[in-house]
Amino acid sequence: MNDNLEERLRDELRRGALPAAPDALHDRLSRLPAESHGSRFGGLLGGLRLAALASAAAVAIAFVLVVRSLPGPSAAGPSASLGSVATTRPSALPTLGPTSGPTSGPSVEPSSRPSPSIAANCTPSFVLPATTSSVTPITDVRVGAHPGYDRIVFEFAGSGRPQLTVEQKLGPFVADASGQTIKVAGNAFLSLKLFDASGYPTYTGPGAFSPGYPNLVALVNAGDYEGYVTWIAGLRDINSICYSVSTLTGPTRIVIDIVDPGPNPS
Amino acid sequence: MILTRVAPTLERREGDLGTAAAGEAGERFLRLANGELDRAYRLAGLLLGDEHEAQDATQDALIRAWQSIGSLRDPAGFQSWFDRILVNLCRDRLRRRRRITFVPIETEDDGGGHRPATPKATDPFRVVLDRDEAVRAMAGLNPDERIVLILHYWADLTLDAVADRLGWPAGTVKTRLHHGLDQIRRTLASHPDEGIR
Repeated sequence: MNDNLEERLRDELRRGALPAAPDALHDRLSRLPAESHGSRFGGLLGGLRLAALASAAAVAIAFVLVVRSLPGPSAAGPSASLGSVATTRPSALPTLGPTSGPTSGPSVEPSSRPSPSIAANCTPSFVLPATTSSVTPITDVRVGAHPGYDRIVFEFAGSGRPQLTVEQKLGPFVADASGQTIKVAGNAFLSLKLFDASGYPTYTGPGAFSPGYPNLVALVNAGDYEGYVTWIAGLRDINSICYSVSTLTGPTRIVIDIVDPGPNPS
Repeated sequence: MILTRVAPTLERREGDLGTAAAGEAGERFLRLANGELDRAYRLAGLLLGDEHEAQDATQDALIRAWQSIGSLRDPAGFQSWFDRILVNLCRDRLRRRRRITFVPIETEDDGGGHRPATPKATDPFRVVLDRDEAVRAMAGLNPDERIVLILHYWADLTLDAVADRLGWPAGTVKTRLHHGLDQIRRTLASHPDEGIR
């Protein structure tokens, strides 16, 4: 349309002086780098970060205690690092042996099977710490079904891995950058957030999977933004929110197994 | 084995943070952020239409930027990188309230012919956003359209630059600009006294 609306907006928005940043902002900025990590995040955000860190530490301690008490081997081999954690329902610990259930789909990591006996984490959140401070390129994301569990694999370039934060979430979900609402099939959901990572331009695979596995129904990308790469896993039902996190090398991978928790003891 | 790696890794990361706090990264961040602070605050103010919210959003953006300063590849791209963080936070705030409800300054007249000196009436961003009907109509846009218009017309970024800064496709930015302008035109047409000048 041939009118002067654009010129009007430009002129009016720029007419007159806008205020400078208040002193409080300059003060806050000046303190940021000097503060210890415990307080540098500040406010609610800082509280959440510290809570996550404390939670991760507690989980790590619990993990050591639980796995030390488990009989038999606790890792599959020299290249596997099992990061599973304590369950909130000890009596429902699954045994993921090769005969624990039918194979319902292709196996994506047939040679990298973690320990045959693992402790499943049914807690609302879990943090796997990063091993590098650099941005980690994501080279592949894949899913697969195994007897008794469904697997999600994130594969990375290089030897470092980003932080993984697993959280139970309720929908609806919104993409980080676009703000578009994301539909994820399933009745319960896990947010899998990688930081500091990026799939651009290294990951060229699908942004959504609909495997329809016994436990993992869907896996949908919800953003690759500011170093945060988020995927939402749609699960069959609330009882399938038990997972283990393990790491593999050569290439570097993070593996999330959505395990069948078995019958609810209640 | 992660049995022996989880706890030491946590300890190592805490140590890294402490080192970084006193190190070169902190000085570099201060230098870069100080140079952008006024502009960032003004951008947040125009997006949010409230000086207090602008201050909060800018502070949140500073904290978030400091947390992720390691992901900034090129210091020359700090403004664009920081804008993206700030705009994203502002957009979250706009979405939470769905739309800014501007009360025109004129309507705050107390009936006695003079305006009460309320904080709202003196908010410097609201003064800018309220004084012209076309700009005031931006309050009715959705957050994404509003962001594109502010970055294009106030920050004087080309549409390609806006797209690059927000990480949106160029076509999306153009579509949002045109939708936003059309919406403003419709608003102005419904107030014929104001109209397009």
